[in-house]
Amino acid sequence: MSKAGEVQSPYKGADINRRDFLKVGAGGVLAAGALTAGAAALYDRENRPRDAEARGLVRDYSVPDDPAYPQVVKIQGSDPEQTLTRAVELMGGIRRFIEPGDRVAIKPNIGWDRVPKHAANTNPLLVAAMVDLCLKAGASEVIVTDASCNDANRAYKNSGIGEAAYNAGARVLLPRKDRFTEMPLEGRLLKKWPIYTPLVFADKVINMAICKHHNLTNGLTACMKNWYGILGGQRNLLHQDIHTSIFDLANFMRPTLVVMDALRVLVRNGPQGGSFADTEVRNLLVVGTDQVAIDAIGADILHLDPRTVGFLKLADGVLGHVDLSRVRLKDVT
Amino acid sequence: MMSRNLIFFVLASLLLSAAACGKGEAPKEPAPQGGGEFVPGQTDKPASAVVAGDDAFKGAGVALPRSGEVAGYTLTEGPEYFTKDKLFEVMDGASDGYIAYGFLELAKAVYKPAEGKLAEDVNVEIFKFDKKLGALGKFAEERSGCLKTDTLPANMCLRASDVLAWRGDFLLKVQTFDDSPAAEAAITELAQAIEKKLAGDAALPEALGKLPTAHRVQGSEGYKIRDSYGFTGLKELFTASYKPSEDYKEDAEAITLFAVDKGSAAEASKLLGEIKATLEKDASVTEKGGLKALEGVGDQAFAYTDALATHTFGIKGGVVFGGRDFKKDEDAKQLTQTLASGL
Repeated sequence: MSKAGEVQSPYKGADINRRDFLKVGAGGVLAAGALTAGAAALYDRENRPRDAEARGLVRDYSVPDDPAYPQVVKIQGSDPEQTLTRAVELMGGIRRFIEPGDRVAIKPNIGWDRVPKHAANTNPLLVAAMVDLCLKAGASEVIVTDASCNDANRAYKNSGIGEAAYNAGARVLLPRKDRFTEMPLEGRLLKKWPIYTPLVFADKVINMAICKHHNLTNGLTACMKNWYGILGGQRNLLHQDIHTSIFDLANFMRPTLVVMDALRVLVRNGPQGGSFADTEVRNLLVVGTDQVAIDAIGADILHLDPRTVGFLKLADGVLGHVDLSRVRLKDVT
Repeated sequence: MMSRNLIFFVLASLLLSAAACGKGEAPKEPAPQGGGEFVPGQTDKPASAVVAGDDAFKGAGVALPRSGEVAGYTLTEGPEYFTKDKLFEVMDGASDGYIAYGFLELAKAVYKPAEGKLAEDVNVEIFKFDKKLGALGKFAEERSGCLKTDTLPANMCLRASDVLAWRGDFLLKVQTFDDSPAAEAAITELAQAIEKKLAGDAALPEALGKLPTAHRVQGSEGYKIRDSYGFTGLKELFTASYKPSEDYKEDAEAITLFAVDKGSAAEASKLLGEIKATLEKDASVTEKGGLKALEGVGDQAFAYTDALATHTFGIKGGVVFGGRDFKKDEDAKQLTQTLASGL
């Protein structure tokens, strides 16, 4: 059995349906092979698609669900390290997610040349705390990186994430051009795109997003939209149908663990912000494995109806649940 | 046994075919290369910091101060320029919001304050739009929580660590990471010096003069170029905020009045019909009693209540008008009547 995220056949859990296999293989032999490969995937418990509606290729870094633990923990706290540690304990402990020897990639939002108080990037103390947890669980290497929107040197420095993660023992990678490789996703919109490889070639991937306002996505950006940071190329070309591209990315990237930082929230003029006046302290943290449910909580934090957020509508029931009554939620707020 | 062999055979065919065609191959992890890692104190200074010569101050950057032009501020980076097709490099998803308002060019520069002025660098950005309404509209969209509104002009909004201003076709942003009490005065001084150099004026468009003046929140005027309040086609609105009583004390509680000239009574009537049709299907509206006619207001007007507040719509000639977020029905009737009378 392979470790999560390890590439054996092109993609784990690839849901190759009849329409898709024709796209993958034009030749007769290839088409026949792809059909059988798709069918064979159904017999492989590890590679089994989560949901027949979730088209496209999948990178699966998740660990098996355990009904003994919640799927989502919503917790209140002002100390980032303590709050994260408590939330992960409630999820079953870090060793449920990280095995000794794992190579872990952490994907915070380091998109913006902003300081923590602007709440445009993930809180650096949270990122450092997660690095520490992973290393204590025996991870062989923890990489922290993001394909920043602004100048990466500035974003890594001013966000505080570069220094905090480095001091916690992570390798903090800058988004150098040679680290992007064009990869197929075969999504609804994203068929093939330059992908930031350090976030893909890992045993475990942890999505650490910040919950904030976004002017393009019905007002919300959090965990699912955070996967935009694995994209290179001209990401603005995707903005015309941003909800579908977000869905494609969240379908492609099935993380080990998801953390949504709502300690301080940018409530207006997102995603880049720039004014402390546009932020509000909420002291909330949400940790879990259902990125759709966590984003639904994010919508609520921003006083939005999650059912009106385009990408959540697409993902509801496919990649997770907007209806929190369908999720094992532990609310300790 | 036979079926297992068959599966292995076809899988092998797939792998061979995929390899032959070059399709379906698992992407390989790029070979590790040295460098490219963030090390505090070593790699956290941008290598591209360039201070341009005087001839680089052009277009949207004409008003950017040269080094020392504003006492105590030394230019340390820029100016850099970004046109419509490159704006996403600076702000990713936020760029679409600027482009919608007719964005043409951004000029950016970084200034180092003299010791004792500010603890952090100051970023200055000047956005040029294709018309004055674009600058006003984006300014109004981003404006919130403005301080010292009694002493600063309405085209300028000071927050804890940044100033937003507009003049002519330009939107100005002056931002620092320093939020000490001294920062307010320092960035205001710098912003005022730059704002004076921007071409054009900050007079409000004539259309805004038709909105009522009584109870209007000073400096609340705006322009919404995109579809608003969830209604397709309800765009290019002139807006202002109102606080008619103590019930609307907080900024977030203010009523918004708006008007848009659709050019003809037929167009205005068509848009109002579409808005009505949408509302009549909205359960949150029908549950609260549906649409209620406002007699004697414009040519035709109505009010409705949803889960949050009461809102109004009406037409007069070619103008569609209305109000948002009334707490009381009598406020809705009275303010919408006043608005319609002035059109």
